[in-house]
Amino acid sequence: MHISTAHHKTNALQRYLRIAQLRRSLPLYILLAPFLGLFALFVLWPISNSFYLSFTEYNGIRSPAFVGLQNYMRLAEDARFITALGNTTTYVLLVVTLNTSIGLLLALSLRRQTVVNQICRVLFFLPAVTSAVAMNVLWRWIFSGEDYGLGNTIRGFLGLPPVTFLADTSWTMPILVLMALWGGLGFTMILFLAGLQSIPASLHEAAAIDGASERQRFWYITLPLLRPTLLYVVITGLVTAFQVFEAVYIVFRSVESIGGVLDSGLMLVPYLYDRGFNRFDLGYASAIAWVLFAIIFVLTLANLYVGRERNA
Amino acid sequence: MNTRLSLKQVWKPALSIMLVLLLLSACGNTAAPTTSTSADSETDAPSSEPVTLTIWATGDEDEGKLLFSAAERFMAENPNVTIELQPISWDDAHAKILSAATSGTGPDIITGGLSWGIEFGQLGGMIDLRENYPDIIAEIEQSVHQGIYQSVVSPENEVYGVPWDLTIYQMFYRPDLLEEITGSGEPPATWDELTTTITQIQDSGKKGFAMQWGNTQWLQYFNFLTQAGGALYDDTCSEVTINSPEAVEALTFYTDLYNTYNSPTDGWPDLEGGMETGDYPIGYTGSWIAGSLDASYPELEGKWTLAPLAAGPTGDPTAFIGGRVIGIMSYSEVPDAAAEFIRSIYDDATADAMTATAAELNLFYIPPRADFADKIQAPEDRVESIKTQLANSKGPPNCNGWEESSQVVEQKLQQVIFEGADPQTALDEAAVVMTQNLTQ
Repeated sequence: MHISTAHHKTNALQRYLRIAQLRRSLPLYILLAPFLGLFALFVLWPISNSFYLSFTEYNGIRSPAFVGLQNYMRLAEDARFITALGNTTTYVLLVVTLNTSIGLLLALSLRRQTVVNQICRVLFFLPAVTSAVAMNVLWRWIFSGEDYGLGNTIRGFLGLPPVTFLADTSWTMPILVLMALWGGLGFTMILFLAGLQSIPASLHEAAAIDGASERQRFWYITLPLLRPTLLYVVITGLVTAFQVFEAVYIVFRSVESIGGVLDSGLMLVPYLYDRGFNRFDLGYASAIAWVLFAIIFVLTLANLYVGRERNA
Repeated sequence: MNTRLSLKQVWKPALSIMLVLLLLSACGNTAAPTTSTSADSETDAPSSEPVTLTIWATGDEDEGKLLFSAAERFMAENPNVTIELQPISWDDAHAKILSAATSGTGPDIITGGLSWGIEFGQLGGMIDLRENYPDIIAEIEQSVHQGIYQSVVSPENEVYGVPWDLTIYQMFYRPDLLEEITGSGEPPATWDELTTTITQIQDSGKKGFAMQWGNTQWLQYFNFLTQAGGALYDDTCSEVTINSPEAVEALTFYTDLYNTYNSPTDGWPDLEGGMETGDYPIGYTGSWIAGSLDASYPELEGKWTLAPLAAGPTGDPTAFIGGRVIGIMSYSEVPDAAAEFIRSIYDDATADAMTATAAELNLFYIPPRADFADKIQAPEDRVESIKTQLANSKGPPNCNGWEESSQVVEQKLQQVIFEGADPQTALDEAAVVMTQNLTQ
């Protein structure tokens, strides 16, 4: 009898606590509801819909027809997709490596609070707040093969013959990487500067007293403590580089080909756009989008795993 | 300090936020464009009932004004019709029209690339004008320029859009410079004369010859292909003929223009600037450039003119003819009025109004009717050149799979131009893909 009453009281107490918890949480859910509703409508629904469409043949107008894994199997035989994947991989490797290392070098060079350094920081950061479309149009002019192109004007000053930058496949990747670095270095530098400022100066002072050289302090103090920033820069760099679109679309696009001469600048997202919106192959385009998502997801997990393991 | 929020503390602000959001969304509905709301209330009613036609005109703002001059005339004749015209840029137009077709809301009429009618029509996004308005199509067929018309008729004989303007390749040249360099102000009339003239120009220290519209692409190659007597497909679209001996000869010549005669390989060489400086006394580009050349390069005024392209081994100066189509979206609730508007573009008086507007706007408008070339407001020698070229022109193929194949053809052409691939091998490879796409 005593046991039964105690059990009953415990149940009542648990119910009361649950209701109290709900009453406490309810206002937060109400406040979150508008965001969650919009997020579900404009993010979750299109994403889940694109996953479904990736298993269909869909031209955007007629009803989607389920084709199973056919779109994904087509990818393996699609020479343009393979070209786009290869180009994107090269681009990502170059951009992420160079952007991270040069960004870090810039941050280290400009870390001291002098007027000159602050001016330099502003100058390096300016491209990050400039319209990407406007800049890409300017890049197109800069790399024009004609005499009015700035690239060829500079070559002319140096006594070099003009080059048809945008029609020469060997220049495509260097130009795309240069454009990405010019636009992204300033932001990476700012992130590293913030990271550097969070490292206590006392650690460096103690190490210096113990006789550690500047190089040793960089490798054994600065770099390990910058790992969270480094991880963030690499992951966001990977995601951004995999999604490159405007640079290819604006600078290298021609009438028939979205990837420039001989597809030398064809990347995954421009190809996805081409299939979906120029060729009305939305099911196939969705499959490309999900392959891209899978690649980015796996690489992000790998990065997080590497970062976490070293912290342990 | 208790930082938890109680329901009482929060429900009022939360409710207020939701009310504000509701109000905003309600305001959004009232302020929304009238296209969809007016469409709901409209039916394709007798001529006395008010009708609103919405047009998305692919091109820049001035080209939108040009089409609007036809709209103004139509509205004057049909007071119950209101036409709302929105220009949309070439870069956005294709995706926007696809979105409109997918959602079933948007314009009643669209204009766009020559192939768009068949593309969107076969997806179910546009009305087959031949099936729904056979009288209008029969009338248009009698007058439209035949070189372009075969390009807008689908292999199944459907017509989802008809041309509303034409664009054709022309040779732009400076007679004064040619006189100075070659001793004759006459433009080259054959391939041999063209290469001889380029050599003479280059010997005089100038750059030579530039191809602008469709440079290193299939569009320019198409000119040389047809001039050599070749074609992409046979007349019945049953066989691919891009790897014929004529096609190989054309590609060899086309490649020589870049690799031997140093024509620029940029995506869009500065032909106009080169004509002004004298670097390019001759060049091939689209006829629309003629409209704005004097305004953009005042130094050139009176110093340039037009000529048909140089003839190939067959003696034929054929050029690619393109243009824009106009058609009706399948969801339009006012298709009859839309069809009447399309018919009106082929009227004599509308063509007059449009060519006059084009002249004011520095546009070089070529009406789609074969007998309207005389209406072009330009010096006589340029109009004569356009007329000669129109008589020797061919539109893009309407064969199955061409849209899919064109990109591959372009890749193969560029392999020859940029990488020195063998023309016959490259065209054989293109033919394999084209045949696959043709029979799919």
